[in-house]
Amino acid sequence: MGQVGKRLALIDGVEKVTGQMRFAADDAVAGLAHAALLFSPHPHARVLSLDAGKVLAMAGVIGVWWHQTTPQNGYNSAIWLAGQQLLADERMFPAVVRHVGDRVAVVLADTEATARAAIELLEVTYDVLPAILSPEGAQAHTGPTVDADRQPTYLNPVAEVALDHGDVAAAFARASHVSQTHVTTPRSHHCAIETHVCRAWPEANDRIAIHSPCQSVFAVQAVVAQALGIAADRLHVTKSPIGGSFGGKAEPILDPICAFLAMQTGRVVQLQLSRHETFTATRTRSATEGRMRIALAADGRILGRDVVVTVDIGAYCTGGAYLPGSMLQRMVRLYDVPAERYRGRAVYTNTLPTGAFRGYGSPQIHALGEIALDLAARDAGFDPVALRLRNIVGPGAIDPWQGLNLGNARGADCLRRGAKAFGWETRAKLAPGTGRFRRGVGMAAATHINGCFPGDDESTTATLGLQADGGIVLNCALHDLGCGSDTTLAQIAAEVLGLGLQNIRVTPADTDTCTYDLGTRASRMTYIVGEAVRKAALALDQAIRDAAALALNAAAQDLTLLQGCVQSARTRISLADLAAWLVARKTALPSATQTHRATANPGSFAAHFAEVEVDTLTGRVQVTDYLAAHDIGRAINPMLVEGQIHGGIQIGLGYALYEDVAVDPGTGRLRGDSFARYTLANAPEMPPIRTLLVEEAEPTGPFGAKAVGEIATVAVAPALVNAVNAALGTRLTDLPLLPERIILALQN
Amino acid sequence: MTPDAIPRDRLTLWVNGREVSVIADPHDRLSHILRDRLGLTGLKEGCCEGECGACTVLVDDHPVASCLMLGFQAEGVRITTIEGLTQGGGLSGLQQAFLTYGAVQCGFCTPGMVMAAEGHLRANPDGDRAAIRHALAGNICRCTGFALIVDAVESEAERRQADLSNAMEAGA
Amino acid sequence: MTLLNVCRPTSLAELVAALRGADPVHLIAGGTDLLVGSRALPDAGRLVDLTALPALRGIDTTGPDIRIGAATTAAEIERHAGLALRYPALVQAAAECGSVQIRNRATLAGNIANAAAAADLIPPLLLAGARIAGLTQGGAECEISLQDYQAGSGMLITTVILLAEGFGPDSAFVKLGPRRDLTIARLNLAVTAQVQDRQIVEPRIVAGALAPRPIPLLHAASVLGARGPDADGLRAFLDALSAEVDAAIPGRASQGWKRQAIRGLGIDLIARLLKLSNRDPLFDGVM
Ligand SMILES: Cc1cc2nc3c(=O)[nH]c(=O)nc-3n(C[C@H](O)[C@H](O)[C@H](O)COP(=O)(O)OP(=O)(O)OC[C@H]3O[C@@H](n4cnc5c(N)ncnc54)[C@H](O)[C@@H]3O)c2cc1C
Ligand code: FES
Ligand code: FES
Repeated sequence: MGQVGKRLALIDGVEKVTGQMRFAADDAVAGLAHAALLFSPHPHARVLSLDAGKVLAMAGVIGVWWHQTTPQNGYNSAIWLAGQQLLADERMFPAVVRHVGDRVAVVLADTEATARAAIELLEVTYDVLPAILSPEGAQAHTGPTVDADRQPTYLNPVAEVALDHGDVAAAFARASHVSQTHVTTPRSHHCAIETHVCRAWPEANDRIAIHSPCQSVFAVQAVVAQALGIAADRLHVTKSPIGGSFGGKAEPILDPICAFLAMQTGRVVQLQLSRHETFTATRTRSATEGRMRIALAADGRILGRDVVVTVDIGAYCTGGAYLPGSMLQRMVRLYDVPAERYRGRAVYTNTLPTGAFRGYGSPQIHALGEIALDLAARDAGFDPVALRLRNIVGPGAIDPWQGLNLGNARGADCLRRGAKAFGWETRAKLAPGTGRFRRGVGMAAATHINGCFPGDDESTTATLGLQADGGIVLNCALHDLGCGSDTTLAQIAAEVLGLGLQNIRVTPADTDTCTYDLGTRASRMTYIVGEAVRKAALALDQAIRDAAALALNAAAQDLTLLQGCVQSARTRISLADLAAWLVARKTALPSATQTHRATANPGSFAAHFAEVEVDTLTGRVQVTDYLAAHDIGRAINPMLVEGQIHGGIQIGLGYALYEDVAVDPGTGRLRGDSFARYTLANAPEMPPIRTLLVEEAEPTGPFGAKAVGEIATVAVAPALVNAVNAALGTRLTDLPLLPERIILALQN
Repeated sequence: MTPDAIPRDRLTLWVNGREVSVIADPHDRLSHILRDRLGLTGLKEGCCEGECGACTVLVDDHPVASCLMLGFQAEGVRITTIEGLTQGGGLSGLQQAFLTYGAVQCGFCTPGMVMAAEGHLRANPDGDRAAIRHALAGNICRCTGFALIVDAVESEAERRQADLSNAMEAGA
Repeated sequence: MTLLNVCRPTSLAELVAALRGADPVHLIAGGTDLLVGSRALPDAGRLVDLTALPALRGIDTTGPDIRIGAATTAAEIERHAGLALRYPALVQAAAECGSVQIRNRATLAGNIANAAAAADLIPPLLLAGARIAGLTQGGAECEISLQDYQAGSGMLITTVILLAEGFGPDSAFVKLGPRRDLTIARLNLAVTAQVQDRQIVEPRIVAGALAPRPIPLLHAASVLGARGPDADGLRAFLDALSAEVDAAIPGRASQGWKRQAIRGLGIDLIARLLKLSNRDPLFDGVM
């Protein structure tokens, strides 16, 4: 009842603003033991020996483990289901370390200070091996997947995906304008403010509990079981509140070690990384290098595209093998292009592994596609907005790769309404100026998915039940990553049940009490889980009315739920009274479980517009104005939607302008390995932002809703790069646009 | 008393209006003491390098990064953590503003952000937007993009101004 | 666990006592350099905190020379009205030092003793011919010029003295880093001069982050003084700044960018000195 579409505060907001939220490292536990890791200083080396003599003599040290004393089961930290076929090339502590920051040993001690001090005293000898530090080097390196010691080596490429759709050669032959653009995207880091952390402890019945800020408790269970070589049901995983993830905590990196130590020692074990360690020893967004050729007709139709991308996935497979396919999937869902040729390959290097980061390939492929299209527009004399409008897919379009219907695709509305609100037509015609500071506007369009269909079985089960006190509990494997999905889902339930948000209680994911769910990823929370919750709420509504019919001696179809009561024209009972009435009669309280299985994957769309001012002397870029138009279907909570968009712009702005962990091509070390050396946009860097929501209801989404979480960041970098190129008349295509690169481009 | 005679393993700190006594190692940072010894886990740490502001507390009303202060350096000053803003139970006006303006997402930066904003408003009640952004430059939020945070602080400044002028009118 | 003992003297007598009889002695002030991230802290000897000594704090601008207590924070410098009138360059540098949280702790002497190439407070101090008074390792009083100060020498700085003849009536500081706010300088510049009807008389300039220590830009300053800030003069000045970069970091990867960026920063510096916007028409013809 009037809950959907409201700007409601987070259901867990009070805990957050008061600091009462118990994040994973916050609970005081007597006898908590702390682990600290020793990391490889070499990009590729065999670990020959470890002398822990000094450490074992230290007071407060519980133990030291390394590859000779830990399970050597191969695993892949990116799986989300037991038995998922994905190259299992990771070890908790490998005998051959494969990147600077790979794990060599762990110390467990009574305090974190002792554990960290002890790490410094471990003596390790290495046999340093040749390292591959660039994707070019990787292309040349092929070999067996496993060497004589059964250690994984480098089979490059790890994955290859190709699409040949339509007659590309003919398209280029017919074209009035042909352009080619080469774009590189950097390795960027999630920088969630909470560093990676995990706790584990022994539980009854020979089980291990893991409490972890994760994106899927079931993924944690599957990965840890694989790494430890134990049955998954010995692991009880619960999701803790999470201080930001953005994909960075999607893969359980610490959990296997933490669980192993708890198992070995019987202690409650905490393993938390320092900020520096989150940079060097977790995941980044993969760096890519891409070339796109575009064939344009005289009227601006895109006749064909020819694309080659190389994805540097780092030292372990993780989910990197999926990236070339993900990038292709996102690429072909934006424009209606009759002929496409795509070659994507993922390669190993001796650099830190890559993983999910807000968009999973989408930011990379959109950087390539949207910068390339802008330069093509410039060369052929088309307005960037008009060119996109000419080609963007419409409602009901079918993508050429997976053959999926894109649903109520409203990209064109984003372009039209966004351009109008931004004043594109006038502003795009303004001269950039000739002085030191040049102004320019740029824009980019983007699309993203809603869930994992058809790649995965997109089923999820939600249970809603009336509690004895009249409250409603929502049980579903929920992983709110901070974006407010618990609130959104509660709003959906409350809407159906005629309740306020305060009546709904949401329980976080727990492998013991929740049915399987894929977790928070692929922009699936609102669209997929939201629909499961809506269906469960409808079923509960029915169940409550049935129960109340007896209590009120009325017909169920005459009853409605409103403001916490079940009522008809002449009578009413509050949910609390109804619950009490049922309990008194020893009758089961109404509850409803519904499984929603999605069989669609519509597109979310966006068009972003930016104005920048570039200092042609220092190369500094200031973003001076920003407008983001999003095809959201229906905003369940517009305030949270806007929050997602604003946050996505902060991340995208960094992606465009400064963020790069910058692997040193000589040493394999990261240059951007701390907040001081990895620049993030802070408050003064942010432009004024306007958001515009296109709410044209997606029929398959709950109340018409579609996703916004990932797409929020996808169009940002190309919009900004296009604006800088417009301001300067340059063809900058290597991200980030560091001042050096801008100055160099101006000089050439 | 000569410096040598001062027992440095026991510290007396003045936190959230109360005097507390803790045993600490000379290396212990204020942030660790507040979290681990005093259980004030509303305080967060995101970097331990002074760059993220998650650990911000007020020292004599001024925001400082408690990760860059050793515990023994904090004797004799007035320390306020996020827990000190809600004494008496309810949310402070600033906390309420963070909630209603959507200035909170994951909530990890929030305690530090609120403390930095509180420190700013105590010294600069006027609520100038650019000044608020400048005052929050030492607090990184990876979720919100800052704008809704600045909105929240601005609205709280206006509320306090209004309260002040009401009080003055009432007094006049 | 550690063999370190700590103390927090509140008077000079206590301080002198603390310096004696422990080996080694380490000093800590705001901790904003010493305590950053994973830097190893001393684990033996004595750590002396300098922030509780009233004698090491405060700014006195009433005499001909300006005297600043070593443990005065950047925030205190930023807020000091008297100092802003007499030596704006230092106040501007302090205002751009880190974030609020950092400025509330970072001390003047800490900035000097940490001796980073990009330290923001040092260029204005060097320009002013600052002298530093303090105690030698043995506890004896001493006073030397900042120019001669060697970081790591063990000297405890108690007071920083800006000599009246050292700083012109007008001065300015600007910096350039990856962000506008809370950013480590990739270049900074300080100037002191006398401004008369937009004429810049006897300017002196120091640049940071161009060499291991901030360096005077004698050539650029002389061009500025000789030519004056009209379009031609400014262009000659900017050329001279680029030439200074070429001389300071020949062949360095950052040379190409810095020789250009310093032109922008040079304009910002002059604008600030003349109390103009860096978009003033005066700078239009300079490109
Ligand atoms: C996030 C962040 C941002 C920063 N931004 C800037 C910036 O923009 N510009 C800039 O210049 N700096 C910056 N810094 C560096 C730092 O804040 C300054 O250098 C500051 O002035 C150091 O002072 P402190 O009192 O904190 O020094 P401490 O860390 O306490 O000490 C630093 C060194 O000085 C020695 N020392 C301290 N006092 C004395 C004394 N009286 N006599 C002799 N030796 C002494 C100490 O023994 C130590 O070796 C930043 C630091 C951080 C963490
Ligand atoms: S933890 Fe102190 S500033 Fe980041
Ligand atoms: S709300 Fe997540 S970091 Fe700010």
